[in-house]
Formats: sequence, structure tokens, C-alpha cells
Amino acid sequence: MLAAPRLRGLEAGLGAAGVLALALHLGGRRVALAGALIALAGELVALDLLASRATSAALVPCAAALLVLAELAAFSLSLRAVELVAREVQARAAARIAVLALGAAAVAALVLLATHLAIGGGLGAAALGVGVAVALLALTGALARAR
Amino acid sequence: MTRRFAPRLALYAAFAAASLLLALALGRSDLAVLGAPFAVFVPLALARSERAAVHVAFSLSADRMIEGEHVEALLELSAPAGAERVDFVLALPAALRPDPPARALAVHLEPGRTERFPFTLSPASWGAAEPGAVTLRVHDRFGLVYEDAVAPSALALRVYPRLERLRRVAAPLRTQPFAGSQIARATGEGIEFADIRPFQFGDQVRRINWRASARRGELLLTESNPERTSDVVLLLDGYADVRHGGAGTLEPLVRAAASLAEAHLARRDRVGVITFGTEVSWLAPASGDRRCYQIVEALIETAVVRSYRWHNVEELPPRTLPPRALVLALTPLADRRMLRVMLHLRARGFDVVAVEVSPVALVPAGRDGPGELARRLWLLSREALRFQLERVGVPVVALDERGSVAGAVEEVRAYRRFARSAGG
Repeated sequence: MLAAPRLRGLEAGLGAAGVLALALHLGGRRVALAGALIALAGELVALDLLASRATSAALVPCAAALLVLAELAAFSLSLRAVELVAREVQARAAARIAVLALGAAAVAALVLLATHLAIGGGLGAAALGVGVAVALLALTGALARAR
Repeated sequence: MTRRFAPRLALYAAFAAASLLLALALGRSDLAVLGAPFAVFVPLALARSERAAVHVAFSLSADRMIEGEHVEALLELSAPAGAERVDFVLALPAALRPDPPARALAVHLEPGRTERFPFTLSPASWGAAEPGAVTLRVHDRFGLVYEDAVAPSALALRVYPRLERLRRVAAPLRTQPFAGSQIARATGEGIEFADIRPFQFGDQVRRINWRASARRGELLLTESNPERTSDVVLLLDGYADVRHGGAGTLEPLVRAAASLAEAHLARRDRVGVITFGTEVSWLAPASGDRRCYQIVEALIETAVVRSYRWHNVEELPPRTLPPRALVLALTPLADRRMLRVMLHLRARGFDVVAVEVSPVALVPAGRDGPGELARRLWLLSREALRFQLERVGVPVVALDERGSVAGAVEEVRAYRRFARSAGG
């Protein structure tokens, strides 16, 4: 386990790396968005560890903020290809991102609630979690192929 | 339409997978909380993604116009089922200038509603121009899937050169036997006074000049010049087009050819066109308004493509070069192949006039000593070409800086007067 001062340094480093990766993404390096998300997520986890060493409700808005951040970055990057954007497009994008934020918060809250559930079975529950995660990824892959 | 995934789709999926797997591996549920929205969003967005059919319509207020005019254009976009966001840009050929300038736009299309984008097109020069194509990117509801498409326009815009009204044309040395507007050099039946000569047996009595006969005490006859048509062949140099900074020699060359054709056709001459270039194309001499349109239509298709092919006059059908035709060769004098054609025609007895569309103003001055020397050598070589033509009796006249033909025509007429008096 890392000591608190070293964890604080890690958190600051991850935060800085996340901001740098986001700046790179906005500068045109699209792949940097994944780096930014991972770094910022790592920073949030480190922050969470520093605060209570247990999963806190503060992660729910953070999870929503991550998605909003990614969507805003992607939207701003997509605007580079166009010179004039209709006001309607901007308004609808803002509404979509707002709905996404609410949805993300709801999903994160659900997952957070699930983590506090006392499920017996230990290994069985872990296997179920792995199965769900793998199924979700498989569903994503199948949908992407179908589309 | 080409369907593509937004780059962030893979990134979101990777982030979700990494966070969930790390949460399991490290036993940290907070990582799962952070990754879960992404893990849910991606399959949900993919499941809700729908194809949006976007219709593009492009119309012009006119499909034919004259240089200097402009045409109203209308671009219409519609989607029967609606489209969340459509990015589009109208790609136009360089010869067409849109007002306002063509820019990439992002719009939302409501179901059944048509978005209209009017603009004005101004052609930079004559020619047959395609109005271009609309490049589209149709985004789905969540922006994770988009479709790229190019909607080409089936419309064609034909821009005719602005013609210069010529009051006089270069008179040919020889005329055809048909009645026209050109006063023939030979004497015969006509109204233009030519000479008075003694009456000879067989002459028509009604042509006796009684006033002159009474004064001289012998029968004298009035001779006149008949009005005849002439055949004019416009010989276009499609071998070379000297260009610099958007300007070139081809545009004034075609404008001059069209103006000359119109002026000669207005005088009831028969006019034909021969273009020497990568290929040889021709229109046999004919007269009338219809031929004027045919010539202009043929001229706006003229383009110069670099080639090393030599063409001979023998390749042409005989009727394209009728005997006693006046050959007006329009050339920038930048390719020796055209010089050879002109010399060949002159050697075959044609009345050839070289109308030079000078490229000198388009070639910038040398930046250094060797550059300036090269330019001077080039100018000297052009002088040598002109001398070569003039030596065999081909007058070389040049369009003025504005590309006007009237001055060149007067120069030809002056040359003809000079040539006659020199010949005695």
C-alpha cells in the first residue's frame, strides 16, 4: 500500500497527465482522449483512497463528469471540420450531453449501490461480475458489427 | 454512403473494459463506478443508432450564361426521417466563385422539412463547368456512428465567352463564288465601282458608262467588284497554354476566336474551326446563326492537355480547309508544332494570318542574371518565330493587353494594304 504523501503525489501526477492528455486530444490527437479518461479516473480513485479508503458517493458526479468531459471534448473536436454551426445543432448537443450526464449519474449510482449490497457466495459473485462485464463488452462488439 | 464509427466509440469501449477489468483485478469497486456509464452508453447508443437518408437537391436559375454574369443557385437538404446533425460542404470547381463563399456547415434536419441554402455563382471565365458535389457527413443521434457521402450534381453550367463586337474584319485575299458581303478583288457583276475600260464585243450594253463615253468620244464600260462570301477557318492552338497566377493565354484566345467567328458569320461568310492539340478537332466551314452557336459550343470545350504528339494538316478532311479560305491562326506562339502547321498551310497556298495571344506579360522577369538572360533569349526566339512566319507572307498580329481583337484586325488590314503596294 502507498503512503498518503506518495498517494497525493500520484494523484497530482495523474491529474496533470489527464489534463495534458485532454489538451492533446483537443489539439487533434484523438487517441489521447482514452489516456485522459484513464488518467482522470485514476486520479479520482486516488482521491477517493485518500479521503476515506472506501468507495464514496462523490464518485457518482465524478463518473458523470468524466462522460460529460469526453463528450464535450469530442463535440468541440467535431466542430473543427465545420465553419458554421446552426444554433439548433448546438442546443441539441447541449441537451444530449445534459441527458447523458443524468443517465451517467444514474448508472454510476446504481453500480455504487450494488457495491454496497452484501452478496453471499464470494467467488460466485465475482464470477457473475466478470460474466456481466464480458457480456457487456460482447454486446458492444456485436452491436458495432451489426451497425 | 459509407458508414463509420466515431473514433471515440472504441476509446469509450476500451476505457469501460479497462475500468471494469481493473476493478475486478484490484478489487476496487470505485473503478467500476467510473467505467459503468461508458459501458452502458456505448451499447445503448449503438442499439439506438439509425440510418438517416438525406436527400440533396441542387438547382441553378440558368444552365447557360455569358461570362461576367452570375447565376442563382439553390442547395436543398432534406431527410424524411430527420437527421440529428448533417455536416456538409459544397465543393465547387475553381472556375466558379460562390457568394457567399462555400463553407462547411453543420445543420439539424427536422423530419419532412427542407433546409434551403441559396447562393450566387459567378464564373471566373468561360467554359463548361460542373457545379460540383456536396460532401456530407450525417451523424446519428449520439454522434457515435456517422455516414459519409458525396452527392454529385448532375447539372452542368455552360459559360459562353463575352464576345467583342467587331466593326470590321480582316478581308481575305480571295473570295468564294457565292454572293455575300465581301467585295471581291476580281471584277464582275456588282455595285461597287472598280474601274472604267473600253467597251468590248460581248459586253452588256446596260453597263456602258454613257457620261464617260460622251466625254472621251468612245464607248467606255463601268466595271464593278462583285460582293462575295469568303471562307474563314479559325485555327486554334491547343498545344500550349501559358499560365501564371490564374491568368492564361487560352481564355483570351478562345474569346478572340468566338468574336472573330461571330463577326465573319454576321457578314454571311462561312466559318470553320480547327483545333490542334492532343487531338485534332474540327468544324467544317458553314454559315448562319446555328453555326455561330455550334462554334461557341465547341470553343468552350477547348482545353490544353500536355502531349508530345505531332499532327499534320493531312489528317484533316479536305472539306475542313476549302480552297481560297482565309486561315486565322490564334496562337500564343509557344509551341513549334503550331508553327509547323501554319508554315505547312502557307506552303499549300492558304491565306494565313497569325493572331498572337502574347504570353510575355504572363512570364515574370528573371530574378537573377541567368533568369533574365533566359527570358531575353526566349523573347528573341519568339522574334525569330515571327520572322519565320512573316518571311513566307504570314502576317503576325497580336491581341492587345485587354485581349481585344479589333486592334489586331486593323493591323491585318494595314499589313494587307502595305503588302499590296509593295507588290506593285
